[in-house]
Amino acid sequence: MNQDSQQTPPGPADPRHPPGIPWAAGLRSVLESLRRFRSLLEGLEIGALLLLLGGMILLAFLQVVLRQFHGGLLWADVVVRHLVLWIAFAGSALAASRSRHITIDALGRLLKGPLRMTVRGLIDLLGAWICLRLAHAGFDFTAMSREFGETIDPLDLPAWTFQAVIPAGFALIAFHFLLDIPLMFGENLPQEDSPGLEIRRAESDAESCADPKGEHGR
Amino acid sequence: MTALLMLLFALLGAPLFVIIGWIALSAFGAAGINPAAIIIELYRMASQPVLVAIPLFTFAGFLMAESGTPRRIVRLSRAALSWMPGGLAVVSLAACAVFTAFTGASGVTIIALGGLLFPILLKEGYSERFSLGLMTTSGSLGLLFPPSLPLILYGLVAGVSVDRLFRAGLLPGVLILLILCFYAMSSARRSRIPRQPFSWTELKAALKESGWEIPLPFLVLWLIYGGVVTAAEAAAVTAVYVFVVEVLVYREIRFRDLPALTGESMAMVGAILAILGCALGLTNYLVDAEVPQLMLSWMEGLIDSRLLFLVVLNLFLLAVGCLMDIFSAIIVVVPLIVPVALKFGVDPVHLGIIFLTNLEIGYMTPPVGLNLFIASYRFGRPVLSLYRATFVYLLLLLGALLLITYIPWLSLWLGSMN
Repeated sequence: MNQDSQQTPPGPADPRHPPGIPWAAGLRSVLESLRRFRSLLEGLEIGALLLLLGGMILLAFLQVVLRQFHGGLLWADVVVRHLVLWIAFAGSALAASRSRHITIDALGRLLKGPLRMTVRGLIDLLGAWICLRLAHAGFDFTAMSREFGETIDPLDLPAWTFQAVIPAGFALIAFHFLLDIPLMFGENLPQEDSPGLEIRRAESDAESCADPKGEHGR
Repeated sequence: MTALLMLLFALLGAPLFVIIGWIALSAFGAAGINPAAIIIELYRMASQPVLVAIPLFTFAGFLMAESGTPRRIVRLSRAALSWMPGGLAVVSLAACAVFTAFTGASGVTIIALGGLLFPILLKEGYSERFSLGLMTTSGSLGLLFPPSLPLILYGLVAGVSVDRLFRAGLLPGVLILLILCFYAMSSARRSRIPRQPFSWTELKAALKESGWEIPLPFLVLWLIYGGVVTAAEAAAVTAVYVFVVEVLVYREIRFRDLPALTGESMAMVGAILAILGCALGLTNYLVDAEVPQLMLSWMEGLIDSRLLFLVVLNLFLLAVGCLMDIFSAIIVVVPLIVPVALKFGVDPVHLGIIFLTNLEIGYMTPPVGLNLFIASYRFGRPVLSLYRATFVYLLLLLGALLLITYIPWLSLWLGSMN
């Protein structure tokens, strides 16, 4: 959970940034709180992922062990399979926040300066628009499932409680796309990277500077 | 018009899952179907037991990459293999193959193992060109060995048993490895690299140091090939085993590293599954609209033999491998070509092996193979010199591809056993 990546962010009264244009400081502090908000969101997503993944590992392993003796738990399989869905959405939201979604970035990397920023903003808008439409579709799906009273079988729980992650997840991803638009302007502010791990950071650097398939583009 | 806009956005770097979702939404909209139908297909993700393997193996792979495992693999294989001619090169190939099988060809191998092996290769007198080529090629080696993630994903998308694929990949994987080993040995002999003396003491020490990790590959092989458990269950056992070893025994991963590590690995899983989820909706539409049948009848007019089909398939997949990463390629392309391949009498299991071998080569094909860029970054050499360095390896792998494609027996002998 300790994704508190913002070490000593330059606040509005930061002496290193003497007052220049009056609105610049205000803008800076707004961007700063947005950035902190995104870190908080990422922290929550990582916390959720820890719980979901931990639960999945334990349950799946327990099943393997129990199967060697008798049938295993009836409800565990269906829960583990739904955990995949939940992990998919939580991980996907985190990937959206960190611009780690897989892309075929053949032209985008050739762009420079303001044009590049504009394109990135348009892509964010497109992403948000598509994800919101998918969230809407997901909401319809969940509502129908609720209407028909579908249940998750051995558990006798209403299915929509498990399915609700679909509209919620898409909405969260859309939100991350929208959040990227103002924060893209804040990237020139001095900032610390989130405490990633050496190798992965090196790799994502490699990919972001020279990755032709733009796996983690932008 | 919309199609052009979609293509433009894809090339400008919009996430692939957004593009696929967009296409699906437009297609369902045009057909007057409620877009909730896309979600019905997406929800199928929760009914595929084998998908469980993806987060579990990815997490285990990340744990190993971040721990001292790469260093121990290198030490052990050096102690065991460097007495041979070209020993160190063989070591690199073997270590990378094992490592990639577990970490799923995401470039981690070049980053984690390349940094250790490249300086040693140079120090022992291998030429820079040879070593660069070797390390870049090794980055996607091992893709055909269990528990490789791309194999699992292919099995899922193509509807083929993952256990069969794991068996089918064995011989072709060994073939590729052997071809590269022979090349490494002969070029080491030509450049008169001195052999290293064999030391029992060092081997014993290395064995002792990696005592906890050596059983893992055998455990996985036994679990999967022995039919003891399914791929997903093997993933659960692997995740628990690796967690216990790296976090509790070696203590190289601290508990406070786990949140960052979980975040990194699950963001990758989320990126893969987002594409899969959206593609499930789209594929369903394409199948309903009989797109594979249209492709088939179109191709039947042009291609009349199985052989010609395989040639076209290879060329097509090499191009795909240059443009897309392996996971999206599997999710997007496989559903379209499986019915066509079936019609031409290509077994889906064999197709899977051809598919992955092609994409493995695509990783190092100029101008845009991903491994070339990762290696360029990792070793601080210009991409152009990597084009030169990998050229021989590229030819060797293409040779292996021809053998794998036109001798189905290689994949099917073990793959069709039960």
